[in-house]
Amino acid sequence: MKPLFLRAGLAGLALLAGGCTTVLPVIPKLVPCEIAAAQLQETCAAPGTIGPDVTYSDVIGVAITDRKNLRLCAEKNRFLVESINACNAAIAEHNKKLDAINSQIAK
Amino acid sequence: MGKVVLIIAMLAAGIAGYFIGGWSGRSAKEALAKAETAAKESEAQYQKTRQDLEQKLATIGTQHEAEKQKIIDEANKQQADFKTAVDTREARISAMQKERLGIRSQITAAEQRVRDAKTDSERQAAEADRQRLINQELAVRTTVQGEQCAIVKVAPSLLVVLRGVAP
Repeated sequence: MKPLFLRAGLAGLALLAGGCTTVLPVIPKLVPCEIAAAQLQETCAAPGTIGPDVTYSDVIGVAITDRKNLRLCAEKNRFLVESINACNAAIAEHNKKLDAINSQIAK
Repeated sequence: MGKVVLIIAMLAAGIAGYFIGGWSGRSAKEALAKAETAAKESEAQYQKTRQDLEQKLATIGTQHEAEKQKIIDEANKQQADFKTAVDTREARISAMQKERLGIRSQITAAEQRVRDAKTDSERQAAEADRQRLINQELAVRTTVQGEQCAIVKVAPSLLVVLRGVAP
C-alpha cells in the first residue's frame, strides 16, 4: 500500500512542478517560402502545331506565338529563381541570427 | 526546554536550507531567464524575417505579373502588325511591280547611254548607272518574290523536317 501512496505523491509533485514550469520553444519555427499558388501552377506552353498544309505566312505566325510563349516561360523561370533565392537568403539570415542567439545563451 | 531548543534548531535548519537551496538554484534560474529572453528574441526575429520575406515575395510576384503582361502586349502588337503586313501585301506587290517597270525602263535608257557614249568617262558613268539600276531591280524583284511567298504552301520536303520536331 505504501509504494502506491508514494507513487501518487510523486506524480502529484510532478504535475505541480509542470504547472509552474515556463514553456520555452525548443525547436525554432521554419521561415515559410510562400509563393502564390496560381503563380506556381503556371506552365510553359508547348510549341504551336504545324499542319501539313501550312503556308510560309502560317509558319511565321506560329513562330510569333512560340516566341511569345518562350519569353513567358523564361520569365516564369526567372520569377521562380528570384523567389527561391529570396527564400534561401531569408532562411540563411534567420538561421544566422538564431545561431547568434544560441551562442549568447551558451555564454 | 529541550523541545523549544529542538524547535528553534529545526526552524534555523529550515531557514538555512531555504537560503542554501535558493543560492544553489540561482544559476539555474539565471539560465532559465536567459533562455526565456532568447526565445522571445527568436520569436521576434522569426516574425520580422517572415514579414520581410512575405513583402519581398509579393514584390517579386507583382513584377512577374507586370513582365508577363508586357510580353503578352508586345506579342499581340506583333501579331497585329504581321496580320496587317499580310493583308496589305497585294497592294505592296502591285506598287513594287510598277516600280520595277520604271527601273526596267531606266536600265534600257542607261544601256542606250553606254552605247552612245563618246568618251570613256561617259561610258564608265553610264555603265555604273546601269549596274546600280540592275541591283536596284534585283532587290525589288527579290522582295516581290518574298511577298508572294507568304501564301505559298511550305514544300513537304522542308515541312517534314520542321514537323519532325514539332507537335
